Amino acid sequence: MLKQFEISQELERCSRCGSCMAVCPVYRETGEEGMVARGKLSLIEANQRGELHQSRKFQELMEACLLCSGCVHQCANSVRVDKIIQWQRSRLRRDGKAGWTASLAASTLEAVGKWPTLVSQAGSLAQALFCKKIPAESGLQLRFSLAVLSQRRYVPKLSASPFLAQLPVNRLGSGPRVGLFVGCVGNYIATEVSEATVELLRRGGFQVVIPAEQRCCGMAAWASGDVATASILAQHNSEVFLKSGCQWIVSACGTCTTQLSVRMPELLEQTAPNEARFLSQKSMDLMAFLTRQLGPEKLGQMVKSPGSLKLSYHDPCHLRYHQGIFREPRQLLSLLSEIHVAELSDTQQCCGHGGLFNVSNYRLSNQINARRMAQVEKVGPEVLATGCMGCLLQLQEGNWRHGLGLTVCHLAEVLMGRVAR
Amino acid sequence: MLSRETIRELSKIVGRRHCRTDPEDLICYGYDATDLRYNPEAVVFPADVQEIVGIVRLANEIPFYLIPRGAGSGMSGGSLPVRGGVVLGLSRMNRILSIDPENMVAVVEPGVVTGHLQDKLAEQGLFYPPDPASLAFCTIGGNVAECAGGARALKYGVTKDYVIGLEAVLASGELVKTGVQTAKGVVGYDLTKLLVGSEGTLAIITKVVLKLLPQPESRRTLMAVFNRLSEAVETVTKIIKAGLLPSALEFMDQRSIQCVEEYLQIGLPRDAGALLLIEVDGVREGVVRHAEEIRTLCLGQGARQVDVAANEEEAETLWQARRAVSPALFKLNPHKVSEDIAVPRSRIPDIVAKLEEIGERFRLIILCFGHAGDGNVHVNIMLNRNDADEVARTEQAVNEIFQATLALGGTLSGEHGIGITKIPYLGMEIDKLGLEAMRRIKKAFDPRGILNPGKIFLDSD
Repeated sequence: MLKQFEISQELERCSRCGSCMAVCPVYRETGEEGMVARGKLSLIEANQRGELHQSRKFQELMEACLLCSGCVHQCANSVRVDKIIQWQRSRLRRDGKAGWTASLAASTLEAVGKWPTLVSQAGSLAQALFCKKIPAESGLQLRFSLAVLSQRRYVPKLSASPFLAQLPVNRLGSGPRVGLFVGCVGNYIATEVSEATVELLRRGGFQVVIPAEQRCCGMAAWASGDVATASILAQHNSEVFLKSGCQWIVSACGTCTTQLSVRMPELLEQTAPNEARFLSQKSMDLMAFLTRQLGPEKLGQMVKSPGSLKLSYHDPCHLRYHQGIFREPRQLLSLLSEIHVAELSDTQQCCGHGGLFNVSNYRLSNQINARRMAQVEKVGPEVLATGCMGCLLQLQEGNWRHGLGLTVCHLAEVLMGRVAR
Repeated sequence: MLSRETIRELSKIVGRRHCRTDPEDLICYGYDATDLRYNPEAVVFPADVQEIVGIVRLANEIPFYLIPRGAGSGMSGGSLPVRGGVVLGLSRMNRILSIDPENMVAVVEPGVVTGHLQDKLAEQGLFYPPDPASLAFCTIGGNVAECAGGARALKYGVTKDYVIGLEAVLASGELVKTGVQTAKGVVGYDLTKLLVGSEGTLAIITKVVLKLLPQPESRRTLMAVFNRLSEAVETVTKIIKAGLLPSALEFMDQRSIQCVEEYLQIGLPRDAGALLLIEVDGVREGVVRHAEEIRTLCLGQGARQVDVAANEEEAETLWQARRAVSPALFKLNPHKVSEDIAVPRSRIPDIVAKLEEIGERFRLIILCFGHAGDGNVHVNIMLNRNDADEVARTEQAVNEIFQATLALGGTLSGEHGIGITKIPYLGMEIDKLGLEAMRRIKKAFDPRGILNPGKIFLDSD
């Protein structure tokens, strides 16, 4: 969490050169300065100087950011745009100026902090309408409750029972102990990805520990500026995993691992330095974990071929920009000699998900997704794989909306030979 | 001040969504890459030339100021609304109207992003060479208005060498077409060339006809590392003299190298005095031969290491390094004064020596890098604007740099334009009569002075 003076310093470092315009997915669709980093930073600066109120428009512009960090990566001064926007969102929240999606998000998420109840009215209404199976404390609640409100037509099927409830035991196999962070999508929707992840880790020679008390990673709360909830979740999850005695925490979701390895350590730095250190050093994306821990021979024995197929890999922003992970998935894919990897023309194009963004800016999110799906269609793979649960849902929705008829799945499933065509 | 009635009229022309007066919009359209700020009174986004005609007519009638704007990536303040008025955002006019491979001509709207056009052309084996460092986000309209250059100027020239025709709206609101769609054309005065580089002060450009080339069959990039800057710049003249015409010949001094390396970490030699980035293009056999000849020549000139990029990816990394210089310099100090002087290329060693001397004398961090091949040197003084003494020393230093440049037969700006940042120095290069001729041209085109006021000239000139 940045402090006031750090924000001022960070804002000062933007020279308005405009290179963020070359990469910003939101700017690419809208062509408006208020949508791109240098514009947003100018607005925040004006607000800091007292020349601009936190108006409705100001708030909407702050919400219109995916926090993908493409601009941070592009920026020669590495201005931390993501942190500044998040900080401003927390300001809006503090001042009661947050938008309806963020406040809805925040109210359902607050329930997490004070387990078990206190579900906001809107949240419970949506839950009654739609997702009885998703408890209020899940970040996923947002996507589906708002699916109703925003008339979203595509809703993925929920798993018959959550992954964490299916487990006969929460300790599988033998070897060095790895804690599996399942994440909300892995728990409630894409349980098959969680299964494939467990199997991969076990075949890699690890004992998989899956603490049943783990909760949402808190990215949705953090991104909407709800630092309090994100902190409670960070504290809770880190305690749960430390107690489990695992040496590492691994997740198949790029968003969750960003929260675990980057955001949580920031949130816990002051209050729980041990937990912070543990998370920043020992929590890792599944693909990065496997390639770093295992030699080529072991990796080769671990994977199962799904047979001959043409596959494209979509880089999640949370892996590419937030964690610098883009070689590892390709390295793993190269183990499967029967797979023809067809790279997409633009390896940096976002899927449009952006967590809350796809709720608060539903149309824009679809527009960004449409650009991505058109690039996929041009290359024409049979399988579209990715490494983040947010991207997975978004790409599945895009596949459905544009009638591409692809198999959209997680890389872990591909590596386990489980690609249902 | 714009009246409510005027705003209403503007809204009628472009539609309410595309006429903005919210403070958020005024802030977001009041800056450019100079990092200076002047808020406009309104921002409008016309969809087509008819809407622009309507806007300009209204501006001429009321009157109010009109400031055309591409991507706001200019380096001299050309798109800043220094006197308020209405910013004319051309981002919606971003269509590539036609690409004609038989006649090697493309017709585009001003809001097309230069890099996007180049990508589209490359798909058809065509080539639009001008490559300003900002090509991934700057627009053709802005390039034309400022006559943008780039690394390839040495072999291929700059924007003005590719603009063969224009459609523009005059200050009166009348639509004119200039130039031709053919390789040759000498009918009447060359208004096309007059409008290119006029920084939005003479007319609003609404359509651009560009001459194209075929994509070169092959390219090769080399990096030569020198212990001393003087060795590097002398090598430049040797390369040209040897009849080898690289498509780009760039240099970076020691501090530029260090800044970029700190930012990108791609293994540039931090202890090197200077490096040259050289690109050759053309038919495959010729490229291989020329690259080898240049390599040998560099080594003979004292280069301690010459690397030839093995593939496109390696070459791209090197060019990324070059494009990153300008922004990466902010690591040294929070602000910069950026000049882009040009001297005859044989005088580069002289100007570089002079810059070093000036930097020492005024106790300033002066870095230079840029287009060694065409003599266009980017001089960057890194300073803290809150330090009044440093600001004063910078002003003196800039003055001396310009004097030295002109004494060597050079020019104040190779490719950034005068905008507002170089206004005080215009008189050093252009004499009274020349300035007077320019003022008369401005008066003839824009008698009421509504187009991009406060640019190029000082009021008292």
